[in-house]
Amino acid sequence: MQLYNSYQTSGQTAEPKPGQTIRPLFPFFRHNPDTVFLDSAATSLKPQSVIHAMLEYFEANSVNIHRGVYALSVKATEVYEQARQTIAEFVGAPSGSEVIYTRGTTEAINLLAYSLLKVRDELKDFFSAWQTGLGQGDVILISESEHHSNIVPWQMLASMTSAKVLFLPVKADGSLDYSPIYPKGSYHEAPVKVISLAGISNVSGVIHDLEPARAFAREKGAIFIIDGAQAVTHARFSLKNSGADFIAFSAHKMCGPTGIGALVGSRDVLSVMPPFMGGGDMIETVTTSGTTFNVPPYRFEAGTPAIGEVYGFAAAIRFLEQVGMAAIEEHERKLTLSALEMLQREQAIIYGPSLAQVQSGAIRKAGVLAFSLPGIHPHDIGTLLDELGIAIRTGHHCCQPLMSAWGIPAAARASLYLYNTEEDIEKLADGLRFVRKMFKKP
Amino acid sequence: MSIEEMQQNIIEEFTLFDDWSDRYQRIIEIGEEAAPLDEKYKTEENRVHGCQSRVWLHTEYKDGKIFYQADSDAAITRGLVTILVKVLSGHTPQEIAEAKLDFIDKIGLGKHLSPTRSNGFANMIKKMKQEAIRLSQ
Repeated sequence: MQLYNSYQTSGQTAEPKPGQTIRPLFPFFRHNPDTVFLDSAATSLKPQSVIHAMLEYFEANSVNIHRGVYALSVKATEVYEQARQTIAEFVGAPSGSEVIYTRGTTEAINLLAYSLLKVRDELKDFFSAWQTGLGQGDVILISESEHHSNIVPWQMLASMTSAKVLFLPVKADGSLDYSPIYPKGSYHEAPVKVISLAGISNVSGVIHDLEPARAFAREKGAIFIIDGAQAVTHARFSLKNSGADFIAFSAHKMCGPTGIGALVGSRDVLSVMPPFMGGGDMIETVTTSGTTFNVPPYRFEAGTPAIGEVYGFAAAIRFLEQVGMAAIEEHERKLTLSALEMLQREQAIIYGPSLAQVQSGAIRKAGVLAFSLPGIHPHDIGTLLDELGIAIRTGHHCCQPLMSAWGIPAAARASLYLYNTEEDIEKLADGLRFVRKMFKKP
Repeated sequence: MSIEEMQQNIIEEFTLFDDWSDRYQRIIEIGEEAAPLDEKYKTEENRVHGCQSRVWLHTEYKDGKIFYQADSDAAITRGLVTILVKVLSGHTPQEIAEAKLDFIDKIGLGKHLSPTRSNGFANMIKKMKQEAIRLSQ
């Protein structure tokens, strides 16, 4: 039990505040004291309490859920089911029964896409566009700034149904261009059945205004989905206020473990949707002649789930709630403005909203900053910064259509979270000056 | 000069640098010194995939020997592929196929260029060997 006990160390303040003082709660910094971690948009670091919660399951309670009659199984089941409630409350959904566990955002979107492939007229009472299943010429509307996870599943669905995927354009500042639908653009009369958009871009950090998309979805009777991979991590998100039918997100981007995430959406809608995968737990009865399916959320959760990861997921939410999403948002806002000022000072090319646009509030932006240095390839920037212990990401960020729309092959990206500090931004500035020196750029 | 001798030369050159930043500086210079690849060879077929930057490899087979030209839009990658071209160009397909390229570890950059890294260095070597074999058959 030594390992287990070692994670129960003190240092947990009553109300941890974002910034320097929260860093002792993340063991990563103890193991990597010299790393400047600026890649939280890829995955966030995990606080001790999350690791501890997972250890609790794996060390003390590692039994299967739902089917056991014994006390340990009942306990694990309780924690697992209670976590749904925690997750529902975190994203402003009415109840835990609306929370489907998935491996993450990607699986959540694939789950929806495959279920919709099989839908005939089951959704007609909820969505007027769904009098029939997806077919020839029907439209799935996404945007150029989507992550591949919110593009590829829809393209696959389109190829299986002869539906088509249309893209809302993205502007140079990273915001969505609604002119094709609003008020009456070229897509306005299209038979749109699905609209799926990211709440926050994983490249530009833009907190998208999704209200025109929501209104258009309602007008069309289409299903409205939010890719929440970034949207739930950087600021308080409310499914109810967003007006979306579904939100998909991943625990690992919000201080939780990898391999677990959720699809959250209306139980009434889910209760008429066909299952995604078949197996244990998702059935009601199985006979040699057929199967009847369990109610949601279980219908969509075939097989033994990632139980320990659910322990960690709930602990991550408790941690974020303890810090406070408002405090996290405010911390990130300050750091984002500092980072934009710094990038401007260091003559970087900033992709996405300008400092002035963010300062004035014209565009809201989370702590995700895409940039480059004139005449220097982002990959060279990333390679040299790595030598200095600064972890950023370079490349297309799984957003090739966005890169094409902006006419660039790649970008460097620094992303911030609750444990980053002004010092991290200064170190990045030093790093960028070093890179410029290496390339003999003034 | 054999592939092995070429490798030794590179290793000797780089052991002169104490500082990693000087080694990178030299790699960037090597890339700058190389003639750029003719645009007509920057084709999809010549792309080396698995690299974060765009990399192209053009291969010719003449008098029993393989001659390479390569380019990248990233400077460090360009320097590295130029070194590979210098080491392997002008040798027979068999020599190239059998070459054990370990200079990258020995010049102190191995940790950045291991096969799991997304720079595609391993893919570059693989493509060079494949092209050598393909053209000689």
